Amino acid sequence: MRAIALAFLFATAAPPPPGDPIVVLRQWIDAVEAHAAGTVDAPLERVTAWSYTDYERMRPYVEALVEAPTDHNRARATRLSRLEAPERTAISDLRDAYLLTPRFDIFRHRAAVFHTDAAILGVTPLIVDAPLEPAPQGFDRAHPRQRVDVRTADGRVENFALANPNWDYARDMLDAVSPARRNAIVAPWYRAIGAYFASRDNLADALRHFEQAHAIVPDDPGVLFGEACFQETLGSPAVQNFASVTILPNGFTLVGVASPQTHFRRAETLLTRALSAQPDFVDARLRLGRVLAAQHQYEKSLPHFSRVIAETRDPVLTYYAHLFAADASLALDRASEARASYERALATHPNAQAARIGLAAALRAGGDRAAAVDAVMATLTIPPQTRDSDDEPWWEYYKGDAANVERLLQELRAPFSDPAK
Amino acid sequence: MRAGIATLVVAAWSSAASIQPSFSTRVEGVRVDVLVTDSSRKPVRGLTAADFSIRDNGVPQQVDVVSFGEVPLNVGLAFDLSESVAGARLDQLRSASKSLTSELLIADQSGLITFDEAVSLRCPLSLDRSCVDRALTAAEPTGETALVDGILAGLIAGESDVGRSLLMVFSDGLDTASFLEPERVLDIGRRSDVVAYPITTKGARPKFLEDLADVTGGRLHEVDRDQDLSSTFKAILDEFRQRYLITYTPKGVQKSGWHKLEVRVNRSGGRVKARPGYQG
Repeated sequence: MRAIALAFLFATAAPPPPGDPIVVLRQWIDAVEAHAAGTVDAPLERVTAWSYTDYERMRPYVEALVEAPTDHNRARATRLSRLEAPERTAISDLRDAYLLTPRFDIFRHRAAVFHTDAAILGVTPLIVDAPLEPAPQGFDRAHPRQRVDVRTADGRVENFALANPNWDYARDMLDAVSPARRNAIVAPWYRAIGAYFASRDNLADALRHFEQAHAIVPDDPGVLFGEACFQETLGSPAVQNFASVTILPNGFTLVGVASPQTHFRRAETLLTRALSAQPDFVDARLRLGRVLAAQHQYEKSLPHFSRVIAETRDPVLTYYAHLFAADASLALDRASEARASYERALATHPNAQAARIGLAAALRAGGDRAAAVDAVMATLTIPPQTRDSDDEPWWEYYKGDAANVERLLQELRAPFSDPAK
Repeated sequence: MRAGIATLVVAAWSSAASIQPSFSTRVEGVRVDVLVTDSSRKPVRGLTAADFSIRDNGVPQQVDVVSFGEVPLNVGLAFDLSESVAGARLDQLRSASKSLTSELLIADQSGLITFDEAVSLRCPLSLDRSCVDRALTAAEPTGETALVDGILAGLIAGESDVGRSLLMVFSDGLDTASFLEPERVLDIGRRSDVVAYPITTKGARPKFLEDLADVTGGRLHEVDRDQDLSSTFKAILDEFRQRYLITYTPKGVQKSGWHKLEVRVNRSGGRVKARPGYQG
């Protein structure tokens, strides 16, 4: 299931008058402090039981507590400006009572991981009917609107879902982290969650995620790589074909999907920056070659693939490098070079369909019909029930950084797996 | 229309009922599959070699053989069995395929390739009329759509047997999983002897399928989302049977490179549908 963002579409009722948000805020702090990262425990469930309206109502209180900055963030400034003076005082008192100030960044970090767990483990998106009324021009802050994501499968609209507010909360926490700690705390979170969104085909949240990453960790190679993968996915046939034929309700457009060339250019820029900061970043080099080829710069792409092959022992990266080099050679009308590269790709993944079909194309382009038939039959005759997804890395290519997601999430949660610490 | 430099087997064209013909004559010839229609788009029948003129890169050629309805057909089916085809559409595919195979003549062969993200040969080309039916009955649509890869497989597999190869492609038209770029497959289409007739649902009309029909000399069919497919399948088969198969031995042209073909029929009002050329 792939999620693609629509703009602010779904009007929600204005938040009800706060009962006692300071009491709820205290409960929230307790939950954050008591949660064991990576588990679904009672503290987590207390917060994930909140309604969408509760999340909306409590957001300025939480932002005020952690002193989230309002520079360049008008929406947050507007939210915080609605807090009354007694509420500000009560929030300040809570900060003192919990001795947050001396350990502020650790608490913010813990709270970000808490809401990350809430998003991943605790809350399933609320499925809503297709929105029928277009949003009015502009964003009316007096009547907040939930972002709605369109969820697709195999190029068709499956349903619409409200965006998960826990991601906003987690980003709020990280916005507040002091600049000196951003490399240690914020950048790993943006890389890990970018990989998580890639693993779930969640393009809608990834869009907002990387927009914010630009502002807060603009030069981290891992985050740049994650965004480049995201841009490459937006340029892929799956997303482009969907965007080109899908008819949405009147007045709505998909957010963030531009032409494939635009996305590939963006990816190229991001990968070039990542490699400039970390020249031995082999994954980034592979993708740079691929997005150059996607822009028909085949000749320019080939040295990148050669360098990846020389620098990595990872069989999947090696497979990709040979596969993409072969495709570039075929595009350059060098059928024999393409054939050799496809055969090298098959040496690492003998049952890979993409390499086998590519080899058939190269052989046919070279005029050898019989060999082309043999090559294609070798993959066509694998019984569907015996196919293993590990046989074909290509099927996972557009999941970008997702191969690392479990490790990255584990690293994020590790400091907070014990609530007593 | 179809064309292609073939190390081909002239004896095949005239042995209509031969199921396992043996071939001994090899010539460097070109096959061109041609549909001729009148002003009301009805196929024109009864033409002979003398009725055709053909130019290869502008050079007039001598038409050697014209065959009409004599050569057995290889009917390849390449069906999208991804998640989007589940339900009523799959039922229609099953029913239409059963009708189609019942229309085949005794020496015609049929075969089935399916694609989701994986491309699979469900039935090799054979005289077994029930294989396609059995395979589609057992099939369960799932996953994404590797349309471009599936068509490449269909084009190449269609050349695995000597004969006139028709490739009927059905898809809802959205590629979400292929590795190959469409241009790579169109290039193979230009070199192939297979004639492709893509069928897609209205609204999903991908340029790739239009181009595929153009470069192979076939025709794109668009159907409504809930339209019965049997009549479309039958119309394609009927049209394919009404085509002429022309062969000639190129003279006065270089063997390699792109060959622009111009096929004309020497009768007023006759319209020719033929592929625009072939790759030498």
